[in-house]
Amino acid sequence: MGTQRLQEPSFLVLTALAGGPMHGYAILKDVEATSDGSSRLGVGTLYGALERLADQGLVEVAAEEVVDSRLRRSYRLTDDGAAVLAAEARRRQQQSAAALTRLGALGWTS
Amino acid sequence: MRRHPSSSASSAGPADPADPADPLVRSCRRWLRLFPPSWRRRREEEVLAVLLDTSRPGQRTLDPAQGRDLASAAAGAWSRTAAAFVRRAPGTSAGAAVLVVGLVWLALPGPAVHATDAVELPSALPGYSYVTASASASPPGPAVALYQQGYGVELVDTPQAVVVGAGGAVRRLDLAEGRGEGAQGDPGAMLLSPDGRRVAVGRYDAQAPDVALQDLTTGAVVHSSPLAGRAVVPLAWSPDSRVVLAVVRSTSWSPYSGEADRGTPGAPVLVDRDGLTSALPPGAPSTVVMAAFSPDGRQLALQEPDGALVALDLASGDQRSLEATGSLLGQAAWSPDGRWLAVRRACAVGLVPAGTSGAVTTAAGPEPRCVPGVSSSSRFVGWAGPGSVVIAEHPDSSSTALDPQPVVALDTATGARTVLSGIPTASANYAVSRLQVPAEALAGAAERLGAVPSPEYDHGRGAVSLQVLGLVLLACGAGTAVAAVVALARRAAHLVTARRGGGRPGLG
Repeated sequence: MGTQRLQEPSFLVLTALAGGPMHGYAILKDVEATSDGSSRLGVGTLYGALERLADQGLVEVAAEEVVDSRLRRSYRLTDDGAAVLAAEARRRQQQSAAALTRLGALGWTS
Repeated sequence: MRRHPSSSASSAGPADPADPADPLVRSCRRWLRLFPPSWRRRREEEVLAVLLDTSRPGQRTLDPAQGRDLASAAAGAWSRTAAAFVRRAPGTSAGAAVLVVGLVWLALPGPAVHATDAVELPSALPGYSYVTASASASPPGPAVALYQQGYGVELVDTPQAVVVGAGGAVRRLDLAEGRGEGAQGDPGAMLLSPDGRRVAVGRYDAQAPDVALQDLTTGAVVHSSPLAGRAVVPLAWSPDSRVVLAVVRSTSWSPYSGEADRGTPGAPVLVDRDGLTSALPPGAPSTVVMAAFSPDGRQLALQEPDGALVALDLASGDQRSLEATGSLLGQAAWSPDGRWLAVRRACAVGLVPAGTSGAVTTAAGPEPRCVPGVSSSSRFVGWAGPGSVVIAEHPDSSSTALDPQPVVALDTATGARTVLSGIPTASANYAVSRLQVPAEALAGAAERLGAVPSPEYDHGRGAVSLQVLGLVLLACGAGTAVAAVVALARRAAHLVTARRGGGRPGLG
């Protein structure tokens, strides 16, 4: 489970849920906030990712409620989801570190 | 809780998902219809709420980008739904896939008919097939042969009218098969034109019968005006294939009646290829049973019910009597050189002088003679040249199977026999009858000595009902096979897993 590669939307959704249970709209806003507005998910993309992640057992429904006549369903990370996210974050961190090291050797600075 | 309340056309308040009149709600629901029903039951209200949460103030419809995003998600949802179904029911999925692919294939146009201008009788004609397309659905082009195959008395030998195109397209003449009323399942009265490009089909028993003329190159059918009578039977095409002589009867006609051997008695009428009808010149016989045009098309040999045979000049209306010592052998009876008429008399194929010169004279000349070497069961087809007749040989009284059923040219003087072609009959199970070969396909056949190569025959795709039935059977077979293989694979995987786990399968 820990070696599973994640598509970008799945990574963003899991990252958002690592902060605690969230409903769909909150996930969208969190993705936007944590990326300084550089990443935005469409509603369709969000729910496509949630479906896949739920099928893989990486997220699960935390709660359901009706607010202002609207169904709101909250999701949370499962233990498997946390493990996969951690592995993916490490992989990305290592790749980023390697890229920055090599760019530094070329004289590039951020 | 609200982040971006949406506005409806009627109010400045937030869009209510339960308000079906809200334009944004309607727009969202339209897009959400793209998703599979099971997804919609599970997700629609939740996703609708998020879509409304993310809407801009005053937004009335989803943006194109939002629509594309939802459409893409819907495609993914359908893909996951299909994958889940395949995992759950692999056999049904395989069958459905075969069915869908097959139906798409059936809906696509069939292969093009190979076109050729060379109308020659090939050395082998095609045998019986249950999956032959119709001439109306897929015209065969100029024909080299038309025949009935199957009598309906042997094993599943349903009678078919088979027309063979010069390019190798084999088709059922559905026009004739649909006009066989009273013919015990046989095709109706059909007559191929000398150029092989048209066929005339009459009616045996119908109110206001007509002659239908089908262009075999296009499939188009032209009908004559309704004729006053109960039956109409085409007897002879003119050599230029522009006009067909038919006889109209006031009563229905059975090709199996006792008098059918002597022809079909009726009032003659000319039908041109546009369906226009006209009468023979005044004074022409009012009732004829057989007819044949002269090679130049100027005269018409007409046989009357009493056996009298006259040659009618179509331009002047003059008539002359011919020696009547037999029954005229169909539209191809007149020899290419105009000297002889082929008749059935004491022998299967006899020749009587046509007396090409003079008018209203009794033909003088030698005693009519028989073409040697023709068995009584053989049928006259036409002329391969001035001194060579073409016959279709049939099983004789000993019922010896002829397979393929030969089409031969016989020297009229010596009886020397040259096999021109043959039609497979599967040991006479699919008997062949009513063979017609257009004069154009026989012209010069004697010089080719039956050596005209056969094209690769193409039967088309057959009747739609048979195609669909075959496809359903194939889908069922594929589904069953896949289900069996998957079940075996799953069982094997279960056993392997159980052994690795040290347990026994099926015991927890």
